[in-house]
Amino acid sequence: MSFSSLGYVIKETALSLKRNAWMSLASISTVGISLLILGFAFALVYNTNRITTTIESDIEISAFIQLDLTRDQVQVIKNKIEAFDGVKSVELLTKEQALQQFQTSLGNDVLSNLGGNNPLPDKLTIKAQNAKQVKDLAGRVEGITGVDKVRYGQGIVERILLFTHWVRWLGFAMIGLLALGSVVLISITIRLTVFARRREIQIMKFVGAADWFIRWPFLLEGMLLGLAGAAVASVIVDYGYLGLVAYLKQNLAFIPVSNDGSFILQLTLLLLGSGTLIGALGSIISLRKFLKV
Amino acid sequence: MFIQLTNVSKTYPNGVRALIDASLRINKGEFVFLVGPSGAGKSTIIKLLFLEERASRGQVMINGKNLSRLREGRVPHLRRNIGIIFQDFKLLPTKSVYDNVAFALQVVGASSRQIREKVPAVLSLVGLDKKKEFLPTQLSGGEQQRVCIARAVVNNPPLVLADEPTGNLDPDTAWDIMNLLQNINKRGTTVIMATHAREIVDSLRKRVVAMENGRILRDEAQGGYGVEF
Repeated sequence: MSFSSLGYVIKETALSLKRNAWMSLASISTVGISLLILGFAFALVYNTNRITTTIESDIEISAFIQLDLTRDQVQVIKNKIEAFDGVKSVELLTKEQALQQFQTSLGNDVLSNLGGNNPLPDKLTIKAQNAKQVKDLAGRVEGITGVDKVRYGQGIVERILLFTHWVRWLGFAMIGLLALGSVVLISITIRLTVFARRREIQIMKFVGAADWFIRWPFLLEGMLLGLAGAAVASVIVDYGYLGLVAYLKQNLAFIPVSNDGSFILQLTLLLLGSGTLIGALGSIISLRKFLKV
Repeated sequence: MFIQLTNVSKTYPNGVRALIDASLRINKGEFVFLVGPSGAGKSTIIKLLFLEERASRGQVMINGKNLSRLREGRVPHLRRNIGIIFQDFKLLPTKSVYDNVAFALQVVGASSRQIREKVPAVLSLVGLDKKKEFLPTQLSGGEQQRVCIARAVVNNPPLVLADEPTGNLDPDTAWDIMNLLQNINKRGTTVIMATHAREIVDSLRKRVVAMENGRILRDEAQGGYGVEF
């Protein structure tokens, strides 16, 4: 494209935005509102994902070892479990360490009160690579001779897993639907702009304008509208989100929501990027029919 | 630039047979009237020549190039060598007279210097140099048609197609437009004009191609409108 054509494209875009100020405002609002919802949905899904991941990674299996086993035998069991598929880590808490912890938390000499006998067993704490494997893994650990009891929060784990599964699934479905809705709404709005200028497009075709020459001002217009809507949405989403996080930190501190800068930046870039893309897509879709002259 | 139609037929998707087995040769620099009642196929010939439509059968050649083999991407280049004048002018209502004409140069990527030189020259050719800042709605029908003509010839195309250019104008204004088209023809531009204006055709004594129901009935070097219609 030559330099004078570039000037033409910029001038036409500016002129069209000015001329269709109300329509442009409508497009910006449409993009803005869609992306606003999209932004909050993304933040929700991101944090739910984060929370569920945290919950899932907290799930661990406690295996208590029979009291009469030697340290070497315990080490053999530990090695055996470490070799299982899906095991992330195995940690040994010896009976002496367990007593030590017990004593610290109670604050007096427990051992002498117990008459010098340590009643606590050795304990292996097993973490699974995937929360879904916990149940299966617990069963296999229980089958090892020398393991006395296995505890992993039976029942609760299954329910948490089911819950997180649905939260993730719903979140992604929601984002997908909203993105689709935005594209449709914007292409309808831009179609109105294009329709209002269909005569102009026809004349351009008749005097020998190439398709891309006709497309550029509309494309630029769509991208600018998308970007403007996205900018409005990001400001609201970013401030709204930070406010919500501050509230949660104060009142529900146990919920591990993300407030680091990189997440906010990611969110903003996502919104600006999808706004521009949606605008461009909308223009191209709406123009296709009118270019066939 | 010569034009050759060989056994051309055009059937529209709705089944209307607008052109049936038409053959025609037009040489460079000719002035040709296409005459006949509505639906005779005049406009279809014009549309085939600037590829708004493609022929269903037969060959349409311009300068030895077969238009039915022209790729969609090359169509803009063909149109840059053809000036088109419409019955309804097809001006952009939001642009001034000057900008409407400059538009035809801008879309082909002309430099702003070329635009500053060519637009005033062509506006004085059509006698509108004093109204270049007017909007189309502030002009009479004849003046709007002159803007359309200025836009069609500003690129100096070797071929001008005019589809009922005087159809919306009163007789006096129509004659002004005809004089303008004749002047353009005298500069060596081929002009093909579809019309029902019997009086104009009869008095100018140019080549007349008479059509009816999609067929060419008569082709006379210095013809009149004829009695058939």
